[in-house]
Amino acid sequence: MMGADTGAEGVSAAATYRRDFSMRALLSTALFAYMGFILMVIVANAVWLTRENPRTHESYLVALVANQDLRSQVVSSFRLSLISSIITTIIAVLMAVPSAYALSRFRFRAAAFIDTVIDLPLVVPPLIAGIALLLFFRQSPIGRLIDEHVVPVVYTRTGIVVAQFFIASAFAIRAIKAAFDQVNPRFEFVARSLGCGPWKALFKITLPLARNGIVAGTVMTWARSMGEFAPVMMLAGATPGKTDVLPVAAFLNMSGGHIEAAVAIVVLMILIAAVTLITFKRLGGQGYIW
Amino acid sequence: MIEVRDVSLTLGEFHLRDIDLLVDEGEYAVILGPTGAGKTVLLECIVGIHEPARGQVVLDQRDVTRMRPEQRGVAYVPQDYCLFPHMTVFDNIAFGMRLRKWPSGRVSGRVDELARLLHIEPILGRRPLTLSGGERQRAALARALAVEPRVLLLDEPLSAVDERTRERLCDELKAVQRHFGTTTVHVSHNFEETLAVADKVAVFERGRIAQVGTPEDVFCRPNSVSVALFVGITNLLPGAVRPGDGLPEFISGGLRFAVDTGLRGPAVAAIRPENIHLLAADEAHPDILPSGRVARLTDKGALVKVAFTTAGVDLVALASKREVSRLRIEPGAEVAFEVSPHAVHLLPGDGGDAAFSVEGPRADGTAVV
Repeated sequence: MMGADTGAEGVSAAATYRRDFSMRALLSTALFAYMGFILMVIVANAVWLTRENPRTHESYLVALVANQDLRSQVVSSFRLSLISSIITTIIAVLMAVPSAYALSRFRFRAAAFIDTVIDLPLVVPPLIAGIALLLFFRQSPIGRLIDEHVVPVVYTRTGIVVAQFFIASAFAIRAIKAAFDQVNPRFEFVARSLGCGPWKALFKITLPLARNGIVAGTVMTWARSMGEFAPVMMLAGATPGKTDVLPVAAFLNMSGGHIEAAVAIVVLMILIAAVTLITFKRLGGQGYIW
Repeated sequence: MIEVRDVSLTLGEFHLRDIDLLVDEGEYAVILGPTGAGKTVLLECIVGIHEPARGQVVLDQRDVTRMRPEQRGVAYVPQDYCLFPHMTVFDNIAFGMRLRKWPSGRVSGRVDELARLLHIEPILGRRPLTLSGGERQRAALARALAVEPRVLLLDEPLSAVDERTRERLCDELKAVQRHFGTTTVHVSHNFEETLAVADKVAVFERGRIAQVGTPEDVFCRPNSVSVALFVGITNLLPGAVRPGDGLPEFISGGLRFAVDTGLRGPAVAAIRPENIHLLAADEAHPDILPSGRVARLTDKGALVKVAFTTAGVDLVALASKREVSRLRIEPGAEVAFEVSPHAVHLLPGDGGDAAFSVEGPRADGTAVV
């Protein structure tokens, strides 16, 4: 009943609850144990880079920086990842904003079916998605038509974007739909009763109010695209210098014995993930599922 | 002028059934009903958020049933006000005027006028999230009135403000409505609020309009037992009207009193608790005035609710605290009472089957009684 007034007051309630210390300590053990596990893994990787290679007596990081081939390979992988993921994110968000709005506001007859289909790329194992994509572009009439006559996809850099898009879009729709769900549809109706057309209401009211959520979703979509591995490798291949985005490069370096390059990529990607997560949460992003 | 003609609509668990409502030019109408009766849905049909499955919405002789909200000239203040949180109060109020491409001088002049009228000049630069309930209510009202609407719709406008603010806002709402002469529909579940503002009351009950009339009609002359219960008439006595010497007599159990009615036969007497006048048992002559035994007292703040039993009938009266102490009313005490023939409203028939179940439609705790 107090509709307009409650929201802000309820938020910090958890902070003021009475605490039972022994219960709190006991139950939090699992939480902190798991967190410790994650942090140990990260630290181990970062520390390893600074360790001395017993054969060459220089640290792995120094060796990596000194090795110009390896260094420029990591740098070009990073650039490839950055460019492809930014292109993917732009396309995915342009498609996701209208889709998410439609999902959030309109009633569809087959809502459950639509929801399930949209979420499938997130739930299907990435490798499986990659194989499925490859089969589509290589064996199906429509896929072959695209690959052979419109734009080559398989084993090309375009394939990187297509593979990233296939998965990241589902993610973008989820995150941005959550942003629209947060905006009370009444705002639009009030605007319309004041003489605002439906499109204007969308652009003047709903989009500005959902802005932070949309930006948060965009950031996470980008991070997800950066990290895509198996589908990219399946559809775009793992050609060094051509389709080796960061995760693929890490994989190639692990198999090729250049462990310092692989670990450098690991540390770099963990950093990127941390920064994006912090940004996402700062912006109040919601609805992220993997 | 608003005409709702035979509107029906099902929306999830809400059903509107054959709604007919006429609000005259410049009239202040209140749709009064319990929470969950579908009042908001009806309001949203007039705004144009929902399209009725059947029936018409007519504004100033213009059928707007299929028209979009932005074409109707209906300003709307939803229950949670929905002030645009990314704009200042000024920009909120100016929103509709800017859409109409008014020159900026005219816009700010109008904002100032409304701000003065509603006492919100100091908050024009603030964001809605920093405002109190009363300030939000005023800002939302200013935003709605800014576009000079033909019709103003208010959904529970006073439910999110505290008791004291509510009283003041009631007066202001009415004054502002008089000032602009805007035809207004106000949805409420609160009697005091309704009495303070309404020219016309439509009692809403499970998706239907049960009664339309002046506040006086609805509160003193409900047309059914359920409306009587809803408007706080707790004394509902099944019985029958018989010719008496002079005025006819109403007989319920062992209780009989004179009534002013043309009705004969089975009827239900509805008596507002404040219309039962209590007297000291020894002051009154037992042959003239009936008396009863007090069962319990409930403190209602300014007044005390006195429940007593007479001739096997349970009645409730409202008395001031002074009267209670002067007459020494306390549980177990004897008390005489008097009911004016004009204070008894008679409903023909036996009141129907749902009539006397306590579970029937009732008001929530905000009722006067």
